[in-house]
Amino acid sequence: MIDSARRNLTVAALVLALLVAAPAAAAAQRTFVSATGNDASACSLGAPCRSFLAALSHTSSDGEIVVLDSGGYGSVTITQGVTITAPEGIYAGISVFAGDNGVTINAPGAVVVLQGLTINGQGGSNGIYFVQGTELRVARCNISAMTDSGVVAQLGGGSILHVTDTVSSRNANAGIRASGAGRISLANVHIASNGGFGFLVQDGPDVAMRDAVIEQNNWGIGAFANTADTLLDLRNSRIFSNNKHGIWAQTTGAGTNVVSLNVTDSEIARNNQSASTPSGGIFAQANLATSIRVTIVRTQLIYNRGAGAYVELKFPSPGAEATAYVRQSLLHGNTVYGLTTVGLATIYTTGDSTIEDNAGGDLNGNILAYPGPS
Amino acid sequence: MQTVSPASARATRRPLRTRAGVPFWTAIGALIAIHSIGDAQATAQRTFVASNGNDANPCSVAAPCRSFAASIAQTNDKGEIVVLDSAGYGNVTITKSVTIVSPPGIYAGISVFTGNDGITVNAPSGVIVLRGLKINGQGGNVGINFVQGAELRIERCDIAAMRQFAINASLAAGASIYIRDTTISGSGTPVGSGIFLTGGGRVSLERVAITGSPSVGITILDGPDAALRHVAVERNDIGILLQSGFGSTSVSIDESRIFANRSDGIRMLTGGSGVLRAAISDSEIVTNNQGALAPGGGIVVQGTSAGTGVAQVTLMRTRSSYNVGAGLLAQYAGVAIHVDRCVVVENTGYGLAAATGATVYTRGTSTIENNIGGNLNGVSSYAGK
Repeated sequence: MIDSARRNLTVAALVLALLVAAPAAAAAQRTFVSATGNDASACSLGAPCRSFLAALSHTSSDGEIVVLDSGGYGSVTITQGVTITAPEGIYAGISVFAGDNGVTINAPGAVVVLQGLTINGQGGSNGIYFVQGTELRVARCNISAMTDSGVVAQLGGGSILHVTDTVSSRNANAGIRASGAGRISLANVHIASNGGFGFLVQDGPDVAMRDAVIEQNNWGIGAFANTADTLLDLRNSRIFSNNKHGIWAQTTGAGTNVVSLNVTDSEIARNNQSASTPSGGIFAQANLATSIRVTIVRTQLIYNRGAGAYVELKFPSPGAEATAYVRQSLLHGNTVYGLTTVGLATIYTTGDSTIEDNAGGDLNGNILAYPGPS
Repeated sequence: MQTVSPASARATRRPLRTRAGVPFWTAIGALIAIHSIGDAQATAQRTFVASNGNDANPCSVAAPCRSFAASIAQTNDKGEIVVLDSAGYGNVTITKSVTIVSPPGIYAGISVFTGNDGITVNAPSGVIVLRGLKINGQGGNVGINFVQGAELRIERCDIAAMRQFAINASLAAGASIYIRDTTISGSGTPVGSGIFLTGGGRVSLERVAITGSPSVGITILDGPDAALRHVAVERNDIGILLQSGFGSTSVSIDESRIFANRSDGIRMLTGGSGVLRAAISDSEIVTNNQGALAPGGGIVVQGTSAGTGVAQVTLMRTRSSYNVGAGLLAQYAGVAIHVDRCVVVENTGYGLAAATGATVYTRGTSTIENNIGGNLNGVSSYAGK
């Protein structure tokens, strides 16, 4: 009886020990990497790993990987909820070689957070590649020199991309590009010197962008809607010195899709130095049955080659529109028109903007006084 | 085990991924040495410096170098140099694409002695990134001297006490310089400028403070297109000098403060074949011209007496107040300024003044009051659209 009880206790203790030990060995909620780590380690604080890839395999779902000191930690594919964080003061690099992506997120239903990473292309395709997941948050990252794009997001089912305090530059394609039914929040991002679009959004996303600087890319922003509506709200941002259009918004296709573009308290300057005129700072064109609706409030559209804002309605079907509303803005020193329409497009002004010194004329085409309530 | 994603299946470089069928620890155990060595050799793409480093080392993370100059010799084109801990790392001349990065929390200093420049960038078609460096003049001439290159990006740097320029850039057509989250102080003695920019390229300044220059805070001369935002220009002689002689310049100054400079807050000079365009928005130009230069004030825009200069300037939602002299003074034919939704008060001279052929336009949307010399002098009106 006593022996039996003792044996049972021993078994219970063993089971308990296993229960306690198992999670620690197999997957911890917080793992660590270090430049002096070893991937054969447990990725614990006392015995950190050397790579993100090894650490991830030791990290439980929705756990954290913490970078302990400066070093390179290799590319990684994430298939679970996780946070990878390099605290301020630590450089956590990922060099991305040909055929690879820096961080791939293929984690249906999961939330992934990336903080403080420096992702540098050495022939690699994309810096951060969001294939699937509920939400991706990118903060304090620095992504450059990829052969495709800095950040690519394939949204769907309302998934979310947040990018804050991040730089994406000198990628051959886009700084950030996204498509599909989802939501995008960008704040304090610097997107510069990319070979294609600074920021490209198409077919589905709702975008809230504020305090963004998008400069010296080939195009600044592209907003397209061929198969689903795209909504872009831009506040307190700067679109500067891009080779072609500062913002290129265009709709076409068989449906009645819409691009809605709202620009507030922003500056769109010196774009389009190497493309045809009069397209210029903002180039908005709706085709067939599709529509584009633009509002420009307290915004400077200045020194663009071509027009400050160009709005065109092309081959329209009934119900299609290309309309812009301009209020309390500055259109100054553009080389061909301040505001211009082409086709059946309309621009409404509220009579309280400064539109001066634009070569070729300040207003051209179908510019009307805003009839609605102010 | 990792799920093999399309991306990792494509990847052949990383041995850890290609051995997906091998038990994990075996794979790790067998490959850890290769992995580590691989990192150490490929390192040429990423090198390290540390206070306890040695320039005879390979500049790896385990065996860092002591100076930027030694480290850059071991770094690939388009590679990175990472600072591991706080120390001084010496002058360096950069002749290829490279990033030098000191993470926040680490002090990476460069002391620049007499006759030297801190960082010289002479890399035709190079892209150079400098992050988190402190450059301190000890009699040295230029903090960062951008002689040649496609793009220079300066972030989180502090540059102080240089004799000629904290940053000097002569930009070729198509070249760019970005300056962000950076402070410049006490530079530009006995002549020169805190930041001096010229040539045909593009300039972007964001969250930059330029203070205490005995000469000019920022000079933009003959050509560069410049975007300044969240810039503070304080206690220099002239705050910002924009000058167009032979090259056209377009500059936007947004959400910035030009404050307590000894001479004009912003001085624009145009003459010759170049056109000077400037848009100032949501900014403050306050308490400038304390040295009582005459004619002078908050913003001064001058063509030539022969009427050869062209300047087109706009002021939107901007305050030019408490300056000694005029809030805004425009002089000579060819100078045209539009003022909309501004506040111009309590200047000791005129609020807005158009003199000797220049034109200043307002449209009844600004508050221009209590200027001691008179609110408006020679000012025209225009209509909103």
